[in-house]
Amino acid sequence: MRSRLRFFAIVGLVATAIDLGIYLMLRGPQSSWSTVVLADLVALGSAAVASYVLNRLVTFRGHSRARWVSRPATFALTAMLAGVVDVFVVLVAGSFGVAPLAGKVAAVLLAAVVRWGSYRWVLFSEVRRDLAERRDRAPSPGQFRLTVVVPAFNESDNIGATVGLLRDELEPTVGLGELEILVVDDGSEDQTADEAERAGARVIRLVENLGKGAAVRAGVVGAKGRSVVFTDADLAYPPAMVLPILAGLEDGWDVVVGSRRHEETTTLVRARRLRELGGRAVNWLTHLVLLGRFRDTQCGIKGFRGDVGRAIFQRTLINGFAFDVEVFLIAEQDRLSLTEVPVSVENRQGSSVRLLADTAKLFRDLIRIRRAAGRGAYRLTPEQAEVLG
Amino acid sequence: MKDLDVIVKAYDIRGTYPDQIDAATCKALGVGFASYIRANEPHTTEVAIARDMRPSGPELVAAFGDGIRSQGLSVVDIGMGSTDMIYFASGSLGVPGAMFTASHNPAEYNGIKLCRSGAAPIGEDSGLAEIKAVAIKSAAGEVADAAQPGSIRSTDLLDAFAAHVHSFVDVSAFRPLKVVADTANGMGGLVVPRIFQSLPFDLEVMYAELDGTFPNHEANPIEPKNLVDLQARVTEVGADIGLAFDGDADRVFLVDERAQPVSGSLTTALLAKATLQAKPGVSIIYNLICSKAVAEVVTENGGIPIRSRVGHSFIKQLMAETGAEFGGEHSAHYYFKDNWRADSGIIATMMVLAQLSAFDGTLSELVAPLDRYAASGEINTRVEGTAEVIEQVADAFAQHSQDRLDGLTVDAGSWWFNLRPSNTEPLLRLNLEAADSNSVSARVAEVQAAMTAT
Repeated sequence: MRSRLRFFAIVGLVATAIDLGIYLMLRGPQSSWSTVVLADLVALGSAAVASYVLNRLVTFRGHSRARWVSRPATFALTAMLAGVVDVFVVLVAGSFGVAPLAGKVAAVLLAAVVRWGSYRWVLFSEVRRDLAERRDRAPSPGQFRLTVVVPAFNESDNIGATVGLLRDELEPTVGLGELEILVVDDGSEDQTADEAERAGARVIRLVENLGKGAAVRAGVVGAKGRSVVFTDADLAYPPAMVLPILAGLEDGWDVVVGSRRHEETTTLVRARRLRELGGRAVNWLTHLVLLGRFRDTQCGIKGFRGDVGRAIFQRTLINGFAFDVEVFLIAEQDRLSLTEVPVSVENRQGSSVRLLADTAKLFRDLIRIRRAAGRGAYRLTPEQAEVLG
Repeated sequence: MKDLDVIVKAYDIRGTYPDQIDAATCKALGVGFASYIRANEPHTTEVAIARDMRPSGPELVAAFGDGIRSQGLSVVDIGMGSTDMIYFASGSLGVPGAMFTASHNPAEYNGIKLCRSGAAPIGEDSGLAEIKAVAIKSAAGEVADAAQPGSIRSTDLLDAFAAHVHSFVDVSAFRPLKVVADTANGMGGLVVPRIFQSLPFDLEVMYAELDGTFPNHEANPIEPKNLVDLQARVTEVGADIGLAFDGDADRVFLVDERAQPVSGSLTTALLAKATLQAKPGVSIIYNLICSKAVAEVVTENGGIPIRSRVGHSFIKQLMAETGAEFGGEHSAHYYFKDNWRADSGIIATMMVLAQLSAFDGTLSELVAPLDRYAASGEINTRVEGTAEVIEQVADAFAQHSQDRLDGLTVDAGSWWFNLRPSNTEPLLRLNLEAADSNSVSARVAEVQAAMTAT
């Protein structure tokens, strides 16, 4: 990955040097605007061809993110758009009497921003197309129709009621004996595990409080359902919300995520303004890692085909809240099918989310995810590849 | 037939030959096993059988095979092998397995370890009781033979087993280390050289001759006295690592280059670390006797530590329920998900050698960062009324956090102990861990005082 980045940077420098060199050579110190435009277009064209050929041959050879260089038409369109911006800036700068080199440098920078934006846009739409395409798979193996994974930390007062409510709401639809409720006790200091067991849930007890990411990982990997949905122990999402997710999974989607920003979502209790803003900031930050645009990466209710969920969570590394981002990253990378369903949410006061500290931690985790992805930590093992076809 | 109540234990069958276990008993047990398999695995047609080097093995295997075939199932005879080989046969061939061994017990003992297809464990609550019931009926002549008896075939699985064991590591990354293995005249003498054959190690095997009378020392490396010969040899030849296998070669104990034993806890931590390097984030099971360092190492390496009761059936079940990748016990049983969750000393050996090969230093230096606390070892005390004594101790340490996953565990922060009853004798087993050996002695005295206070 490093060497690829280095190549990418070198190719960029070479192309820029070609662009600047040809431009300054062709236009004299005092030129008419038509000479300027012609010089700039020839310079840009040469640089674009050089960058296309070099990147295609060297940098992105056989790389999955190289989708844009493998599409000449898209590349040409992007180059043209950036070219128009470049020419425009050069002309404007010239009309204000800015030196040719300075004007051209400004043009190159602005054009680079435009080009970067368009590449992202192209990649977004490609990734979204991948995610929107359901694949034919044999039914997932599993002992139950559905496992609901409930990560819980110090929830002994609520967990019994939560398990009971989930069972009452879901069992009539899912079927008697077809529902597994799996509580993962994330190293609670209270009687969470015993209470959950008493309420009839299966319990995985973690030795220490590792974080929601670790608890969900332990639950999804240990789940015995053909479909697996995880949701919050405080039932911020009403139990019935599990059903549209299950329906989506049984309709052939690999991953079905709840989305609180979906048009149809109803927020029962408005979250405090600050938290809502925080949530948006988080969603925006995920663009550091993800290609696709997801409305609500951090939504606490998500579902997976059982085998797909296991194959995803066998590779997640993040114990904290950023594990959701890993899920999307792996879905993008494995070209899994993914859809969003609207969910209503009851934002409770006194939630354990601390805005600043958690955002900082999330930021750190996002950088960790990028690094891990860079060194290939999320690559499929042969067994996982077999599961995912 | 002999009294089955004496020889059928919680997880296996064991007794002295010929007064407690003989050919007739084994034939009846074969009938019981076949009948259990027919009832629970209707598509199964074959059963794999292997044995260790005990002199009574061939006779007992033949009788057991007769019992199996009388019920219409066929026999795949693996011949002599280690216990982890029967799990390999069961997993890779998809057949139930029977291993004739009495592990580390003296020569006059023999016994059977049974598993279902895919190396799924069979114990008292999972088949052994039914098998015993049918065996009793069979001995009384109440079980009819099948119309068509099963056949018998022999097969040699050693090469396939070696390939399987090698698949857990990158064999091309091994360094040419000097290795001494004490196989204690047990099955390691057959298996270890075959596994090492193509590898770049300088291997010396001590007591490689298969001899069920164990002429050199008892084949039970958990006892320090059985490690003495290996320790001396490691020092003598300047080996990088010493390996001590038990009689059926499913357990392995390590000795470092200074001839110091590496505890089962430390080895569990090392194997957990190796597992997490290959598969970060996975769950690791350890029994509650293991050092606290195991959970710490798992967490530090990004994994999820999960505690289990002591005993292979609990570990295997918990591995199945949690999808855990690796499980370890202080008693040197190491379980691998990709080994059908069965334990294997030789796979553990390969993983340790891979770690040592990749490490620029000695085994003692490799495990030093994992060796964080001092442990008492298992201290057995004979008491009247084990349950009452446990309650008494629980009361005495009521101010500390406690759990009852297996016996009583008390965690006082800087030190902890577990006190659990033996399944068979009026014994309490105490395991205690603290910062250093002085604190260990002091705290052990404290707990023992609470046990005997009236």
